Parts: sequence; structure tokens; C-alpha cells
Amino acid sequence: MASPGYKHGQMVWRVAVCILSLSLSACAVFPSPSAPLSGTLRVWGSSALDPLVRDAAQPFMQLHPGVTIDAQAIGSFNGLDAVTKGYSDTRISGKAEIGTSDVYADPALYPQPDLTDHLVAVIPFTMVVNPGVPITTLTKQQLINIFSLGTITNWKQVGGPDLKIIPVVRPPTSGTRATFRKYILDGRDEHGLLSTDVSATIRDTVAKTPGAISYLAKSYLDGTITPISIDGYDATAANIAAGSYNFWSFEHMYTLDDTPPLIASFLNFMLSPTVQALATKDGYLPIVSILPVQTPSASALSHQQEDVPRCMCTK
Amino acid sequence: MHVHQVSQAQSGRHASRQRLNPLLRLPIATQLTIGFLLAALIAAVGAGTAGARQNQTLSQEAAFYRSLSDNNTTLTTGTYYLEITQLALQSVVDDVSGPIVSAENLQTDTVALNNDIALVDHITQTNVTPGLDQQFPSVQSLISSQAHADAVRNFAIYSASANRAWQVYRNAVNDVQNLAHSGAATDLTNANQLVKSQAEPLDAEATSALRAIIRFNSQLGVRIQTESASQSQSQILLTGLAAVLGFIFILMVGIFISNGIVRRLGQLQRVALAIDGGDVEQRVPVIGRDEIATVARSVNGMLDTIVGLLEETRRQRDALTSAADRLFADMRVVGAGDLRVNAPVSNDPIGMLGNAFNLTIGRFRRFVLRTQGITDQLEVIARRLAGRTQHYHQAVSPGAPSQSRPGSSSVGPVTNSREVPEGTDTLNQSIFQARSVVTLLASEGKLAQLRQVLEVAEEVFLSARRLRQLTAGFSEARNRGTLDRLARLQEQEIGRLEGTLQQLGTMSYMLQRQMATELRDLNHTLDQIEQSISTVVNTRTAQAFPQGRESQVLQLATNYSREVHEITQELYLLTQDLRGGVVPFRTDGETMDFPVDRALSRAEP
Repeated sequence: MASPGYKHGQMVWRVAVCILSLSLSACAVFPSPSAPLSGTLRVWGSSALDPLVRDAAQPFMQLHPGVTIDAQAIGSFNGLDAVTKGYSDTRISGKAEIGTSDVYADPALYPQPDLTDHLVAVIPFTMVVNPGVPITTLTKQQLINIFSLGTITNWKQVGGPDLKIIPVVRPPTSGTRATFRKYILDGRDEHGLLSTDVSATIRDTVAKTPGAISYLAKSYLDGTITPISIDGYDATAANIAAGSYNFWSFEHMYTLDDTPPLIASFLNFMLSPTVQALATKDGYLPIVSILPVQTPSASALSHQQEDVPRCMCTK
Repeated sequence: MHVHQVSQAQSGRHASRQRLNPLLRLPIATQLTIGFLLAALIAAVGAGTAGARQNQTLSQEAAFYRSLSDNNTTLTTGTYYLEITQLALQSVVDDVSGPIVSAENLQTDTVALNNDIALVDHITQTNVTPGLDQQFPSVQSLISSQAHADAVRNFAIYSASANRAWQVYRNAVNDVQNLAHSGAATDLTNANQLVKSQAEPLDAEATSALRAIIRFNSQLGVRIQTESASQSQSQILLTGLAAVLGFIFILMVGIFISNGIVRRLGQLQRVALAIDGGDVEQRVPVIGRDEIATVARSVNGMLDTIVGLLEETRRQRDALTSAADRLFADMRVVGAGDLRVNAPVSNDPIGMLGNAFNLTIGRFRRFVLRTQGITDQLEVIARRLAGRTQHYHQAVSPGAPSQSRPGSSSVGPVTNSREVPEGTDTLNQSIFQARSVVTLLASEGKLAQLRQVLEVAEEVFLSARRLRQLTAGFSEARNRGTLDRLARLQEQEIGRLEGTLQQLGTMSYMLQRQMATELRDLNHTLDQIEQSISTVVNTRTAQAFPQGRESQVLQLATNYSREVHEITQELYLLTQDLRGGVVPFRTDGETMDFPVDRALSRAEP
């Protein structure tokens, strides 16, 4: 025998469940569908950033099977040219969607108002010597003397063996060279054995040339060459942040239009913890975006990122 | 006993619920107050907490955005001053590069340059060198710790970048100034070159670095906006969830309380319906200590009282039934002719009926006994009178054959005697009439009347049986209507019984009246006899008898008349006695239903 009280209670419970389900369904989120990414993304420019771009391209292309990342190390200034007006050499030709650079694009040289800077990492550069040179540190002035003034030509002048110093230098298209000139040579010209802007080639040259000295992005360090410190400071994040080690640069990705989903997705991907972890492994210092970046797996599911404001432009 | 078991089982079944529901121990007003207070408290705490959190977040955000705005304004100013510094540097170089060097201009431009440098230096020290947390104290509480760590590290890099560019630029400016102030041609050339190769790019880079910081600050703003948006979204979600939970809680409290009230009221109603349907053994379970529990307890007590009263009524009815049975048995005994019965007397109606019955029967028995006694005496006296009369007859007519037969029948042959004087026939006739009346009194009348009484008693018996059936009907009756109807029937039956008993009284009364009439007749007859005897004596006296014999006859007649007179006196006394027995019965002179003529004819042998 059901009492009137129980009947009343059941009715009230039903009403409560109805209200609860209504409120829950009102809170439910329906993700909007999106088309999968496809196409070729040309990322040309800095040789210092090239290893990170290639490392990041692999997981990105796995996430987006229709996408091809075309990474080319052609030098920072060539990269800026490639994104602004197009670039052409014996191997490649055309306009890149993303131009990478070790230096800020000088607004005087690249006046495009839509040119947008995306900082993706910090690259510490380091002086490297042939393994046959038992020197661990040089002062900034010694480096000026070696590379610019030519007053130091033998390793014995700086406490090393009697061995001729062979500076290996880069062409003016190199962002690394520009940084070296600016912060180590105080704006002076450099002189030495002119090599290519390809960092790997310079590394090999230094490794093979006795008495050779050059500068490299930390991402190219391996056992074949010896890094040395400047004024006793190594290229560490702490020294850089403290201002005691100046030979470093931001890695820039410049775009004229960062709104297409493929470009936006890749730029976000570069700043994702996944890629920044790769960057740390490769010798870069990470710049994890403080913007609300979606994880790669999440961005693989949904590409609704247009509503997220991107970096402000730096001209 | 069964009722108690049921109520115990019910209270046992509800005992656990009672333990689970401590609210029911409070008065209803307190229960409702607690329910509403809880609801109000939940709502107030929820709204207050959400509002306080929202307020705190908002004030922190406001502080952050204000410092962000200040910072970016200052940094933008810094970029302008960097350009002005570069222009001032160019002016200094231009001042010394011209064909005529104006010392005053150089002095002014150098001061301007140094002022610009000092300004940018100040901006760098206040807005670039300090760490993120010094610049934005509230940022740590506005974003996640991971984002905060990233932001601190990134800002350190941006800050280092700007500082580096600015310091190197300052060095370059110093170098340029030194070269410019030396005045040597090569130094001027070098100064110009240094401005172009180093100062200009570094100025641009410092500007870019400051802009990078501005951009970073804006990103921080976006990040905080997004986080606070998601936070407020989650807060809204939380608030909604809290509202839903609070609603459910309030609903549960409401159901809890209203169940406690409504369910028990329902139980009360069910019990009331069951009682209405005749199931008087139902009881209300007493749960809690509030007003409803008090009402339930009172209802139970009331029901117990009602059931006790019902039981009492049944017991009384059974006692009445058995008393009626006993009274009926007594009436049967009386109907069989035994007037020695004595019905039990009590305070109930049947007992009073029995008392009245006893009184009636006792009176009737005394009357019958008395009548019997008087009749016997009358018979003796009549026999004596007959004997005297015969003796006198034989004495006055010696030749006449003697009649040895005693009794009234011996009078008959006397009438056939030729020697009988005038008045003797009348005497004989009167004596015969007296005998008839006595016979009627002694046998037939009593018998008929007793038969009548028996019939009335039969009716009383039938009434009692019907009463018993009604009593049985009481125990089977289930609803009030039946009970009412049975009670009405019982009342009717008792009325009918009362009528019957009244009839019984009437019959007794009539019997007495009849007796009185017959006794009056007897008296009258005896008066006639006396008269006749006087006439006979006078006639005899008047006749001429021989002297010897005449005095003898006179002597005899004198004796005879004296004896007859004495006998008549005795008869008169007996008649008075009978009349005295009749006196207590009221006689209104009504005609009797009892047919005297038929009784007389039936009394004839």
C-alpha cells in the first residue's frame, strides 16, 4: 500500500531529475566539425632554427597526414626575403609561407606592414674551436682581435699552442653572423676563411681544419668540435637571462598572413610543450607560449584556433 | 490482545524509521524553520562565496590590467625615446661632421642625447630589468603555476634581450661620442660608420626588443583574460552545479520534512477510514514527538475507550439475553401450573421484569390459594347447609324417604317432594345456583385464566428468543448502520415484551375482576337462600300443625333457622373474605373478555 506521502515524493523526484537533466544538457558542449589540414608549408630561412623545424615537422605531419612541411636552411636574411618577396637559388625557388630568422627584421629593410614576428625559441650561439685547440675560454676583446682587428693570429697569443688561428666566417645573409657582429664584434667587420651559411658545413670545416675557430648555434654542437666560453661564461639559460652572456638570439618565424589554418596550426605547434621539449633537447632555450595553446592531440581533433589572438606584430 | 500485537508490530516497523528521522522529535514549526533556514543558509553561503571569489578575481584583474596599461604605455614611450636618441646621436655626429663645428650646438645636442639616454635607461630599469612578479604582483594568482613559470622564464629572456640591445647600444653611443669629440677626421669617419653599422641596427633591435616585451605583456593580458574567462565559466558551472545540488538538497529536506508530516497524516487518515469501515482494531503508529504524534496518541486512546465501551455493551447484552432466557424458563414453569417459581432479580431491565413477574405470580398464587381455601370452606359450609336442610326436611316430613347422599346433588330430589311447602323450590334453586358458582370458582375459571396466562407467557418467550437473535446479530454486526438497526429492533422487541407483560397484568386483573363478580353472584345467591329459608320457615310456622308435634316442629324450625342463619353468616363472612381478596385489584366495571356463560356450561359435568 503506497501512502500519499510516497506518491508525492516520487512526483517531486521526477521533477528534480527533469530540472537536473535540463541544466546538464544546457551545459553540454558540442564541438563543431572542421576539415582536416592539407597542403605544403614552406619554412625557409635560418640554419640555426632548421634542426628544430625539421624535428617539429615529423610529429606535425604524423598528426596531419595531408600536410607536407618543406624546411630549408637558406640563411636568416634569405628567409626574410623568401617570405616577403620570394627567394630563388639553384635548388629552390618561390615564396615561403614562413620565413625563419635569427634576427629581428629591420623595418627599414622589410617594410611590409603585415610582416608578423613569431618568436619560437631562443638559440644560444657558442664559439667553437677545432678539437686540437686546448683553449676553454676567450674574452670578447680577444675575439674582436681575432675576427676583426687581426691582431691575434696564433693560438699561443691567447695561451694556446703555436698554431695559426683560422677564423671561419659566414656570408652577410647569415643571421648568426649579424648577431656575432653586433654583440661580440661591437659592430666591426669580420675577416677570415669565408664559408657557407650552412651551419653543418661550418661545423665540419672547423672539425677538419686545425686551429680553426668559428661560432655555431648550440643546436649544431656535437663531439667533433669544442665549444668555448666567452669571458668565462657558457651559453646557458641562466647566463643569458642574467645578461652576462650576450651571444644568443631569438629564433623568429615571420609571416605575412598567419590566419590560414595550416600556418596558424603549425605556429601554435611550434610553441607547444611537445616542440619546446624537442627544442630543449636540441640545445635551444624554450619559449613555451603563454598564450592558451592547445595540445597537438587536441589540435588534431579540432582546429578551432582562429579565435585565439596571435602574437602582436613587430615591425 | 490482538489489537496490542498489531500496534506493537506497527510501532516496531516504524521504530527504525523513527531512529533515522530525528527531525520528527521536534515540533512541526521547528522542522519547517530548520528546513527553510538550511535552504537560506545554503543559498547565502553559495552566493556569498561565489560573489567574494568573483570580486577578488575582478579586483586582481583590474590591478593587473592597470599595471599592464601603465607598463605598455611606458614601454611605448621608451620606443619613441629610442628613436629620438638615435636622432640625437645622429645630430651629434652631424654637428661634428659639418664644415663648421658649432660648439654650442654640439653641447646642446650632447645634453639632449644624454637626457634621452638617461630617460630610456630609467625606463629600462623600471620596466624591463625587474622580474615579472615585481612588475605584475597579481599575475601569480591569476594564471596557473605552469603558465606563470613559463611567463617568468619568457619575460626573463625578453628582458635580457632588451637589456642586451640597450647596453650594447649605449656602448656604441659612447664610442660614437668619444670618436666625435676627438675631432680627428678618421675618428669622424669611424663614428659615422659605427652609427650606421652598430648604433642604427642596435637601436632598431632595442626597439624591437621593447616591442617584444609590449607584445609579451599583451599576450599575458590575453592569457589572463582567457584564464579568467574559463575560470568564470567554470565558476558559472560550479555555481550552477552548486545551485542544482542546493536545490536537490533543499528538495530532499523538503521531502524529508513533508514526508514526515504528510505520511503520518496519511496513516491517520487510513486508520480513520478503517475505523469507519468497521475495523475497530486499527491503530495509528505513533512516530516522533511532535504535534502529529500527540494527535496520533490521542486518537489511539480514544479508539481504546470506544472499543472498551463496545465490549461493555456486548457483555451487558449477553447478560440480558441469559436473564431473558431464565425468565422465559420461569414463565414456562408458571405456564405448566407451578406457581412456586421465583425468578432471579437484578438491576437490569430483565431483572426488573423478573421482579414484576415474581410480584404478579406471588400475588396471583396468594389469591389462588386464598380462593382455594375459601372454596373448600364454602364447600364444607354448603355441605353442612345441605345436610341441615335434609335433616330439617326429614324432620318435618317423617314419611319421606331419607336422602343419604351428601352434597349439592342431594338437593335435587327434594324438589320433587309433594310435601314441600311454598318457597322450598326457590331455596333449592338458589342452593343449586350457589353450587354452580362455587364450582366455577374452584375449577373451570381458574383453568381458563391460567391458559390465557400461559399464552401470554409464550409470547414473552418468543420475545426473549427474538432478543437473543438480535444479540447474536450484534456480535456479527460490522457497521454502525446495522448496529443502529439492531438496536432499534431490540428496542421494539423490548417494547413488545413490555406490552405482553402489560397484557399479562391485564389478564390477572381481569381474572380478579371475574372472581369478584362471581363472588358477588355467590353472595347474592346466598342472600336468596337465606330469604327462601325464611319464607319456608314462615310458611311452616303459619301452617297448622298438631300441638305436640307443632311445638316440636317449631322447635326444629327454630333450630334449623338458627343453624341456617349461622351457616349463612359464615358464608357471608367467606364472601366478605373473598371480596377482601379481590379489593386490591382495581375494577373499573368493564366487561370481561372471559366468557362466563361458556365457562359455566363447561363447568357442567
